[in-house]
Amino acid sequence: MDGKSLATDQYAGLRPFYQLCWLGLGCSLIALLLISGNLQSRRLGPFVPFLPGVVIVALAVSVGLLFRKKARTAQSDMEAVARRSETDQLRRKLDIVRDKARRLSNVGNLDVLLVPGRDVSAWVARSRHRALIQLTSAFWSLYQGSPELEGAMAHEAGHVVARDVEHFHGLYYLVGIVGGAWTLFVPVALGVLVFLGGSEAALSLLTVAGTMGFSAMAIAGTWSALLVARELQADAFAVNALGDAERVKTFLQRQQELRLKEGARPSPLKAAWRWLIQPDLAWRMSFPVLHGTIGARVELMLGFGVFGVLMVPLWSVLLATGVLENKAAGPTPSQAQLSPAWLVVLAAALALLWIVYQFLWYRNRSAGRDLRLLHSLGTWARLSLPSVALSVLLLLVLNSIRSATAEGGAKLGPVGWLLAVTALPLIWLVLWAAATLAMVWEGRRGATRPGVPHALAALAAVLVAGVVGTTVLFMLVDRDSSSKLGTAGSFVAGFFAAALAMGLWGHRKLNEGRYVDVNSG
Amino acid sequence: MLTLDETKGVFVEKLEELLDAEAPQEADSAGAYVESPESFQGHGKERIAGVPGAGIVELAGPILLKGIVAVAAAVWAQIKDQAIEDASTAVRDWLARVFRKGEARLSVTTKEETVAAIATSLIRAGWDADKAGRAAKRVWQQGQEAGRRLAATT
Repeated sequence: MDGKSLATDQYAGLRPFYQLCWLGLGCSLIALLLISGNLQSRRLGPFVPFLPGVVIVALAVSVGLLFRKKARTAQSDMEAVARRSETDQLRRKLDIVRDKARRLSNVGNLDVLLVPGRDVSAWVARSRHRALIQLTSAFWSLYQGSPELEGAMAHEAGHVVARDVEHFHGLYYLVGIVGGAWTLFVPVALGVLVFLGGSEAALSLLTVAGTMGFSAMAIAGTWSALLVARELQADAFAVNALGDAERVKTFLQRQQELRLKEGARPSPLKAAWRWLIQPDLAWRMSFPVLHGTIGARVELMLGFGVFGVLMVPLWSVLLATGVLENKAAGPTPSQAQLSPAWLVVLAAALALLWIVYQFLWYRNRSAGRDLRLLHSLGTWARLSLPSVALSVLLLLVLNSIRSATAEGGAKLGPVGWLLAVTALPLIWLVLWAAATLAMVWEGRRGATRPGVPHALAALAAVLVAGVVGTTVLFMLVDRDSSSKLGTAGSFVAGFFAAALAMGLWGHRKLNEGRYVDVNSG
Repeated sequence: MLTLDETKGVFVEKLEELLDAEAPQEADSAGAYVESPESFQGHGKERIAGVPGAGIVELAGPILLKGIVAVAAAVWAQIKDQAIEDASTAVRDWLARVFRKGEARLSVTTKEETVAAIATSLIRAGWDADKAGRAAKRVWQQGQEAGRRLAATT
């Protein structure tokens, strides 16, 4: 699934978020299978190794399905209560709200129900079949008959129009399933490791636990970024549908006032959960999507998600192929490098390239002719920042471990550090340049959605330019020298200069207005 | 035997009348308060962009409902001895659900004492004294009427 269910074009920008979530979940499950297989392989022989992982996944899926069923039953019970408690007086008032919501969303069978609850909330329970908006009693008591109610209903109508609520809820359950699978996996892994014994086994468990934690954080971060992006998009829809921002703004303002009145500080766990699920209201009031931005938090979280999603298969393959463990009984490093498991990493990396390209494409489209260079480069910087920071941190840790252990091998030299520190920013810069270039080409043919051929061609063009740049620099600067640092420096500077030049050229072309902003229509 | 729906119907009607007079913005929720009293206990849920209710929005309905039910149950039992014990399990369960587990129930004694107790709980919920006193008297009245209605149908 790739988010194709997003019904209208203005919500198409959410696709990369959904795709990243699904990819993260997929990689996490693959990691679980690979690692569980690796841990058992020496004892149990071929084919059997994956069995524990499959059993764990099956168990977790069953538990997830049970929870889903329970949630569905709770939802139908809630609806039944809401319908039973609808007095004639309430029905008359709600019918007016229903008509309004149907007009705003253009969904004829959209229903609105008042459900019992003391939290001040309104949400879409279903967006596809028998679309349904639910309001709590407290919400209704506060907002009935007010302009704020119209703002809130327009926002919810935006979620109905996106038709992605079921998709979003499905993801939520899958995140739970993956989390559950990992939780089930740890005791099994512990048992196996005790059976196998040895300190190397303990290192394996540490790696497994790290991968597990990282996987969970990456998926949670991406999910949170998606959640925020959905809210922003629904706000933008509401403003467009109502024809003014005032009613939506007042609604958000009152919600913020209520939150400030809360007084008691939530527990750290609750505060963390709230941070994940509740976008900043003051910021929402500025309607960033209408100005072509989506916010630093979303871009940073997405960058973190991209890095996390890539690291999960990478670490699991390293572990599964025995590279990290380096045991005599395991495969040799040369065998490990040839392992088909590396295809998983390659596939994940290619999928991530496509996701990042789409994200940049849709962000650029939203910015339309107001696309500013700093804004564009800022997006690139924020997407790449988590990857760069975490990679450097990881390198520092690994380097310290290596230097602390006698058998750990050599520490990174200046060339290693130069490449390690500049590799990721360079990759992100190449991506930005390729995306900008591809958008110019796609804009010229009036494309309304990103396409693979232009993206690949643009990437190839930037890479060729990078090779040319490197060669030129090498010839100019380092022709007579055999210094490795000089060669590495030429490589980095050549690619950096070529990517920046092509990106800037593409950016200028985009700003010439040849690129049509389909949102503005 | 009095059905659960009939019992709830009596309380929805009485609570709606009371809310219409004392807290009109909540009158539409009378049905929700009666149908699912447990949904208004404890902290509200953490939902996306929602605000949990506890401490922010003190809803009058659940407090008033507890008063009406306590008075009605006392009147019902007074008119028809053993009536509540003889009521269906569903009705007895619902009467219990109105109050939070372990919550001290309103003790219905004389009119003055009961009205004062209801007024105190309303003042604790942020109502001003005059309004609370007036509403408490109405709670007593609605509870009496509800109790008599229930007794008449059993």
